[in-house]
Amino acid sequence: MSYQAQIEEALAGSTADYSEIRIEESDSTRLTYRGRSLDDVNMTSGKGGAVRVCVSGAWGFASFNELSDLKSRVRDAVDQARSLASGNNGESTMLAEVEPHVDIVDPVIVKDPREITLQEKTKLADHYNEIVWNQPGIVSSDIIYGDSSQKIAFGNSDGTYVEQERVHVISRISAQAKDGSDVQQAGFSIGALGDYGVFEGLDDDVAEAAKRAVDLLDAKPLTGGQRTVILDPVLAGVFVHEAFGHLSEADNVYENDKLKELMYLGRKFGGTHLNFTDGAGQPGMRGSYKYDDEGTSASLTPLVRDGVLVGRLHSRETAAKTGEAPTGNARAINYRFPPIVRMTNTFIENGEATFDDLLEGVDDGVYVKNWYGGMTQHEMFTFSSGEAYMIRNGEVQEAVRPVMLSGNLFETLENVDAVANDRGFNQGGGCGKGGQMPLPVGTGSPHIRIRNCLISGA
Amino acid sequence: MTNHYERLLDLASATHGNVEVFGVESSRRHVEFEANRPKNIGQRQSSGIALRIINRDGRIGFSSTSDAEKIDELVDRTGALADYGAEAKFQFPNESEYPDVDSVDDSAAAVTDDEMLDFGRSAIDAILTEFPEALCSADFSKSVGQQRLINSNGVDAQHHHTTCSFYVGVELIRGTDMLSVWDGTVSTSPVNETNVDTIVGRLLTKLRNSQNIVDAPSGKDLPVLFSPVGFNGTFLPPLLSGFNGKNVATGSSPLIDRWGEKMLDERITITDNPLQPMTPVTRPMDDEGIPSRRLDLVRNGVIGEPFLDLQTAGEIGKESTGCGMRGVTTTPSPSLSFVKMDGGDVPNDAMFDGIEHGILVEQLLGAGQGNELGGDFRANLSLGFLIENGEIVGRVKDTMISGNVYEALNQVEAISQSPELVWGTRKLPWVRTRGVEVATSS
Repeated sequence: MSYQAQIEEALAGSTADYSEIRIEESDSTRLTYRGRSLDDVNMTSGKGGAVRVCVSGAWGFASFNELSDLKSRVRDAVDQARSLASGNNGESTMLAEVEPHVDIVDPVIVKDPREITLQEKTKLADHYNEIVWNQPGIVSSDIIYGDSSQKIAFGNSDGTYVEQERVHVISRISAQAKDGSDVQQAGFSIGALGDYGVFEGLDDDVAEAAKRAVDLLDAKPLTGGQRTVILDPVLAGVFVHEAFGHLSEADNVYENDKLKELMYLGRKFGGTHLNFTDGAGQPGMRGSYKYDDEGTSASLTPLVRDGVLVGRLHSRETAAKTGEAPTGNARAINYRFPPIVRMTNTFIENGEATFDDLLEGVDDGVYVKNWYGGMTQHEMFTFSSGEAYMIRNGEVQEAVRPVMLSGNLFETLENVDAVANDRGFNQGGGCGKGGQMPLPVGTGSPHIRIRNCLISGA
Repeated sequence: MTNHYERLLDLASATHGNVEVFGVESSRRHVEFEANRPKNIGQRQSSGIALRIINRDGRIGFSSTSDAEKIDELVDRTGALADYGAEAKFQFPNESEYPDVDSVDDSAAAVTDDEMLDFGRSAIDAILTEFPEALCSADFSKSVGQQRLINSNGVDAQHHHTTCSFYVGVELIRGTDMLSVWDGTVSTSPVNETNVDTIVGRLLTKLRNSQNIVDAPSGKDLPVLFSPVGFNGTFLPPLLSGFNGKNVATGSSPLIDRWGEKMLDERITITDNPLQPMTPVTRPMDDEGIPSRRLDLVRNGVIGEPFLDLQTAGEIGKESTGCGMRGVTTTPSPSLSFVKMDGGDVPNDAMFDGIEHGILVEQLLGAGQGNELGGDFRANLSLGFLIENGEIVGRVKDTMISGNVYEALNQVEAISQSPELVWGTRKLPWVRTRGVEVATSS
């Protein structure tokens, strides 16, 4: 029996207010190099399913690897949700209306990694590893290459049935240099939707990362404190994701009246040069898709326009409970988890300045590039650069040890005083929330400048 | 999938000779509260099986599946992958005697949804009584699992576990200040009223201490007090990465030439003990079939030994320390279990004494983004307090700490007598040290 028939048959018996079923098949390949040689080649195939139901505002969820008897899975989930609902004071199920879709979506493929032999992949990774080791002073290297495909069949009790397939390619290449007990590392991450080509032609980037790792041994650490910083497009993308993106996820707000008062639509967060957008509707990026994991169509959601909060990211439930329109941002990393509100591709739109305009007048600042990571807790956030350079008298000068930057939503956005017009994209990142990590996301931003940004010592 | 192990082993060893089959089955049930109300209930049943081989050229092949219909495909696929695989620096182990250690509480499986809901309600009610404007979330789970490893040398290692976790988060918003505190426990045994009272008590203390927001001090020579949770987040990741067999084998660990050397304060002793009974990480053997044993990582400040799996042990010409751990979809890698730091000589409640002007580090935001391999740490304080004249005077915000573990743990001023459990898998004291840089914009 087809997945569609199985899902429709199982949903037909549900007595919940809302029910959905996902069935997923996945395949992934991963190469890991550690030091001079290949450490691990790994292929994994998976198959599993999930049922999610809502009864009087309470959700029941079950995931499983054994796909027979979906009907009884639905029944169990409904029973659980019903018993939970008996304790929540007679709430009702509220889900935003979404037009039902029946659709089979082909994967986005530019250069299919599944058609590249393992021999070719290892040959190329070997070649990059060679480049790292050609740099004198290197003590170790880490290269990760991974590709994966995920085929998802989804159906719900509103009549939606969609099948989608997504193919991802990711890689992280880093080099370590050591002097006595001082170990320094430098690297970069890349990713693409359906395109093995992103892993090709990286010779120069790899050589540069290896050299940077060695050079860092001589770089001086900065003293912690506040400085003017200029963020490159990669790190500025992480900045908008951490500093603003997470608080625009409406599941933070929809049951939190105090936060709703702070994050009201129309609130001003900074100058008119601030324009932020999120959306899976931007084609061809790692956070792109046609339908989210509740079957809602993807969109492009303006979050900030001219410095003012104008929108946020929704599931069907958060949209209904805030009275806003659904945006198609309910995502699950795989069948073991329920969909929750997530970012997709998050952007800072181009401003009017040039990179030189940003440098002008900066006498004691730091140019920060590339990323190690980032994290958010409500209004507080941190993010880390992979590279840092002093700026003096408007010029980028010597490298210093990479830094961690920290900020506060209500102050830091006010301090973004210039946005350049040179937007670049990064797709090497993965986002974590609610135990679901790494979820494919993309970012895009031009260079931006932040005044009085708190930097950690190194 | 439990009935497939022997068949897969037979099928694979007929073609490949040296073979290992590893699989897990688990079932988890959880109940979640959001915004003070029950919101989600769920269960996760998962199973998977993995095949690892060493082929005739001595190369490792590995693949796994959670699809019962694809188990037979593993044999050919793993063989094909081995042609490109890493050179095996080990043989699969032979049968051994495993220590007998308790890791299962049968009453865990019997915990009902209603019991979990009742504990959640009583914890949330206790917090709302004192802080009516708070928004609480809570998460209870219980899981029962088993894993099994068999290999072509006759090893048949099975291990069962039960895990119960309980977690409460509280959010308080005043003006543009958003305070988030959390606490919880993970154990082999069901949550009881004492656990709930302890956790609620600690949360209320954190909330009370956070009522005033004060300017943070800055500088490089302040006394900084770390709670067990703060110590865990700040110091353990950069310190332990140096002991990791992978970093030792590649030469990137700063400790490779320094085993047996005193590198930390002499009051510091840190061990890893998978044989500590009834913890969520208790195990008689590792995931490669090597018997578990206690490891001295640091003894009186002296650097002990690295933690190794079979491959990294082979790479550096040593025996595995029984630290090969994995999920079903990945090959083993060196990993620790129950990490304990010995207590010192200062009573826990006297750890604030003598701090004229310093900070207390409780919760971190963004730790682990820096150059951990070099021993560096840095993080924003998601929950930190100013201490003046031995008393907490308020919460500090927009403040970062940074430093190097090998420097800071040589400037220790005090270690508390009684270590405390952290998330069920660590037991750590309170530690007061200098040599931590504090930067702030407040």
